[in-house]
Amino acid sequence: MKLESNKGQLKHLKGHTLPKDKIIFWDTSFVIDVLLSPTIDRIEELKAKDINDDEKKELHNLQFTMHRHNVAVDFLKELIKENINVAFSSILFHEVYFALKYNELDKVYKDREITRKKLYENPKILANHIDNIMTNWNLFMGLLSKFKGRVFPITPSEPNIIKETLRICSTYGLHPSDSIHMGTILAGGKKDVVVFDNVFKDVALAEGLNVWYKV
Amino acid sequence: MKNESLKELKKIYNGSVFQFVSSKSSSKSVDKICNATSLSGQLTSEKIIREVRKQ
Repeated sequence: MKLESNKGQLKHLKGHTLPKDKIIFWDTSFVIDVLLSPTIDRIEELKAKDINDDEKKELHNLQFTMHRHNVAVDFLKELIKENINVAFSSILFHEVYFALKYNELDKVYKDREITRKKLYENPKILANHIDNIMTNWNLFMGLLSKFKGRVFPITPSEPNIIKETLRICSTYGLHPSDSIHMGTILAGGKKDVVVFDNVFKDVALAEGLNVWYKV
Repeated sequence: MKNESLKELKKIYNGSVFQFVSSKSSSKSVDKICNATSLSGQLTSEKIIREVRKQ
């Protein structure tokens, strides 16, 4: 996939003014970075000892995700402080559910393919993780409550949303859920979206959106 | 409370948009909420969202 046009703006989370209409869209990648924070104890443990190659990779992943998490939380606080209205496709709830579920299982099985196989073979393995998943889900609800009713999910049902979704899917070959998020924003003619995912970001810029991206 | 943004979004998206009010409000600060979660070092958050979208 080659994206030739770049009509949109890449807006960093610092140094740019928030949208004048006070409406900003979220991609699920932003929410995942807000919600999933690596445990600092594990980072400190790895930094304090001689580590093998696998541990080096783990440390790199943890530090990378910690940086993204800190930037995402700072921006979230700014959105709350400035009374910004948040809109997103309602499929975001479904995606956060999947991310939180697999986040817990990955801690045990270490590898996504193994996790998937284990879950397929024995769905009961999920039972031990329900409490932790629900803790994180309730935190997600707690975060949304900070917006005090300024959160507006949009179901992908209007024909113009579906039409835009299909156009995006056929133009860029994006996964269906990326396409639904993009189709929802474009169908409404809105411009501003918070994205922490490179694939989504590139297409959003090619479509002329203002992309709020991590520094 | 009437919200001008909701009115505007309803003009665009008709009945597809709704105002979400969370069932779980939290008195904790945003920092405290976010620090209570955790992630293993096996996958980065970016890879997690890519995996979600493969489902």
